[in-house]
Amino acid sequence: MRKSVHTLIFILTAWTLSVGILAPAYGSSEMPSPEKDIKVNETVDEYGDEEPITIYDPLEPFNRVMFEFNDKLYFWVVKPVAQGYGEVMPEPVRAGVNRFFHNLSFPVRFINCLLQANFKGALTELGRFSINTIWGIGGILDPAGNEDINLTPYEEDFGRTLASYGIGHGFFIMWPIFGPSSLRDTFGSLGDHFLQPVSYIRPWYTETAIKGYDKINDASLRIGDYESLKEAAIDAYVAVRNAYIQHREKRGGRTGFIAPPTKQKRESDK
Amino acid sequence: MKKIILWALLILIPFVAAENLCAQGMLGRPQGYSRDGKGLYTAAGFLSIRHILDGDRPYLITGEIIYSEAGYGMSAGFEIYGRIGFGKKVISGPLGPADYLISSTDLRGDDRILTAAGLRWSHPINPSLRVGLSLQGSYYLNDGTDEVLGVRKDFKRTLYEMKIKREWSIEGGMGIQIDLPKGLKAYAGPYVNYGEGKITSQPPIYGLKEKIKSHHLIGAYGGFTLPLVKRFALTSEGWYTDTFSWSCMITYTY
Repeated sequence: MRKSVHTLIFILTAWTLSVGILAPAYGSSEMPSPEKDIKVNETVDEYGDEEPITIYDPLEPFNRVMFEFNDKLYFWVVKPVAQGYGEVMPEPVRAGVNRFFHNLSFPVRFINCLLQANFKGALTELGRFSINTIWGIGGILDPAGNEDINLTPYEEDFGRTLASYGIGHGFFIMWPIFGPSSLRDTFGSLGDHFLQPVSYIRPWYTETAIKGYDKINDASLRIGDYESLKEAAIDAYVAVRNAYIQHREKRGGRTGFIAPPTKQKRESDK
Repeated sequence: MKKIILWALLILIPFVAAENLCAQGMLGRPQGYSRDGKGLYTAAGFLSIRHILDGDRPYLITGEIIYSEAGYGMSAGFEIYGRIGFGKKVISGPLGPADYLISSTDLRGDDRILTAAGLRWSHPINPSLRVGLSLQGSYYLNDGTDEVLGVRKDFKRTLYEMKIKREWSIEGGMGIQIDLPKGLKAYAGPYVNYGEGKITSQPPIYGLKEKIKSHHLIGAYGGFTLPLVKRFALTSEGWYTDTFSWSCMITYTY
């Protein structure tokens, strides 16, 4: 089953890669039309004082279908489950679970810092992991992030490592279930998968259940974010696409661990 | 001068009054470790155990355990804590030496899981002196299992499979704590404890008394806490008898 999932991911990736590479070749020999093959220059900079962030989207029809699928999956399954879970599980516990899984994914951040020759980041991550594992009860608490120690995480992954080698996003892909990504980040996610300790838990359904629980727990802390984005947008798909790219760029800018907003914060924002 | 004399007495009393102890981890300073007596603290520590339990004869118990601890300071000087540790424990003495035995006759249990929970309470007498009580219960979650090898009919084989089961203990201490310069805090006091365990053998060994229990109930303990960087602090605590048990831990206060 696990092999077949990997094979499926590989085939889909290879297919999107081939589509991405070959798409312009099906048109004329001239540069592709922005309206057809490549949706370009969807900027996310509101003030125009930064270089615009762009993303190609040759798979937009496919992506829009997948977006609708994910949208329904969220509203029909993920949100009700996350809300129910949030009702029975206090927020401090859910935040602790969130921190635990974040601490567990230390190898992803550590190795990618090293791959980017970011030794300060690697040392910081090592320090954070050690302190939080030993004095943070396995990462449930975050003493390393307290103001007096103040070790801010470096949210590096393989996608960012590829970016640091000068590889661009390629084009935008909306994966079913997994959500928004790009060609580069899809390959990056495969690399990250092998650095996640949870990926080595057997049997496969235990691994899937643990990852699913992590996602539901995470979703329970972010209910309302997607709804707000969708409400504010004329085209929700475009808004999600832009938000994804902006989010990735911000992570690349080492803005630190994007902690889930607290209930009070969400209420004050309203 | 009075402080120095008091401090010297506090140091000496435990070492003079002590008898065999059965400590399963440090009791900690009476004041507790949470900030201003309230809130959370966590700790990581090491425990070197050395004590005597009585079976059909006195058995020497030794062990090294690393542990993690978390505690919470409540109002009115109370603090509760829990601890989990992993390590090895060796019991010397269940089997005497015999010609046909070729392995160690010690009962060696690796990967033992120690759990403990406790309560501390303290009351200030003046700004630099306080008294307190500590109560702690310990239990080993798993059995210690070991095989005794020997020669029988010219063949080397496992002669006995021995187990130490259901080890528990309960400890209580009354400590006096004094604050010294540079944030150093020292404490000491008398101590009572009772512990039990059960040794079994397959096949049974004639004359082996299954139940083992504390050799002595009364002793003393003492230790100090030294502030380190940030909110970290080092605590070291010892129990001296004809044997010496020792533990240290680094705490982090939230």
